[in-house]
Amino acid sequence: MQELVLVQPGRTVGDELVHEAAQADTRREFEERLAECGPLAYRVARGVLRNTADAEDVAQEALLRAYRRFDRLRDRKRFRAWLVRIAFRLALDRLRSGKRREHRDTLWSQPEHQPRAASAEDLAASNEFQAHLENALAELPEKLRLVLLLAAMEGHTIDEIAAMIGVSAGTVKSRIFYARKQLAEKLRCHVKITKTR
Amino acid sequence: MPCENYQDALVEAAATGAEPQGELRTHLGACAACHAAFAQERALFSSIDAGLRVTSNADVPASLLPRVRAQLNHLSASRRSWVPAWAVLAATAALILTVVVVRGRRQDASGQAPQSSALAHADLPAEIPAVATGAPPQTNSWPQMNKHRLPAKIQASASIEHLPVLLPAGQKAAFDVWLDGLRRGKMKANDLFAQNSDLPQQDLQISPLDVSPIEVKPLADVSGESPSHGGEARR
Repeated sequence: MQELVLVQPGRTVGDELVHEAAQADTRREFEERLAECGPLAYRVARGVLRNTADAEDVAQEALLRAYRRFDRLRDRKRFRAWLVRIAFRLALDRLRSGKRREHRDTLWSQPEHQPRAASAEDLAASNEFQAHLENALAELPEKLRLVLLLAAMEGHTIDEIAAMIGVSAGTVKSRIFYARKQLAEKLRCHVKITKTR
Repeated sequence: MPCENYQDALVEAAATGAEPQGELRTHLGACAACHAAFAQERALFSSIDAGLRVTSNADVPASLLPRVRAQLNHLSASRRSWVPAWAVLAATAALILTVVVVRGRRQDASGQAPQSSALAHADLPAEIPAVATGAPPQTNSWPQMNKHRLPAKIQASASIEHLPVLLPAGQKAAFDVWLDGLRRGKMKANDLFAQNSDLPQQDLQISPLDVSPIEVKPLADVSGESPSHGGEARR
């Protein structure tokens, strides 16, 4: 099937071809980064949202947003950091709106607060400590949470994280230390409970 | 030193993952409870790190990248399809504008047509029948009628130059002088019309047509001749 190209009034055919070629280059360049950075966007979103489906949606949205604004990114070496920030922001927005929605749904559907009865399958499948950890992680300040998630991801050194979020390596180390310490304080009691069982 | 004094140092050592140094190391060697607490703290941080690795390195759904690529294709296609839509809109707008302008001009032309068809051209000889002496009111009224459509300069130059007018007999020379003054800019057409519009309109004087009476002659009586012609024929 023959592809039809419509020339815009006021533009020459040469301009049109140059424009098309530039778009193709942008797409190619973005595609090269997509395979490498797509998982990063997903994992950042997953770390914040703790939900696979939501994280996938947010990662997709972050990648598309990055593509739309790809031309504005002057230093392409900073693409990873840029994408991480987009994904992190979008995930936080989704988390907040999800909490509002959850609160609203609870008010309408359950006039009296009743704890959800866990099924035998739920109990068997759940990893209690992991659930507590993710809850504690969600309560951390945003700056600490992002650094901790990036540090826990495979292949990220302190210097890379520092470059990604635009702070010094010392700040990254400090944030990691305080974040882990805060998590330990929140989880210590759960470890004892687990042991006593 | 009591064990409580080593608690913070113990936690910090466990958090950093470094081996205890100095007094803490000595105390841990001597105090079994603190040694056990230190081991528990290290286990806690190990669990946290392991849990974070699980959270941070979750398997990426296989559908993510294909979904993104599909969306990128859709985005590129919609960008491409936007260009023809824009071009079609622009072309349509230009077409409508052209039609409106052409129709407007035609309407103007058709409005002039009845006048111009009834009028003779200015270049025609001055010996125009006296019936045509209604011309001056026509020349006054036409520019005023179109004043709201055309700028004054256009009315004064283009319209006058090409407008056929009727003139009273014998006034062609005066009209030529007036037209010449108009072309040289000595007078303005609108001023002249304004002045003329204040003047009382003179009654048209139409000389009656001189028609000579028609003489009707009776036809010759040809009925008597026909029998003789017929008789000769019989013979």
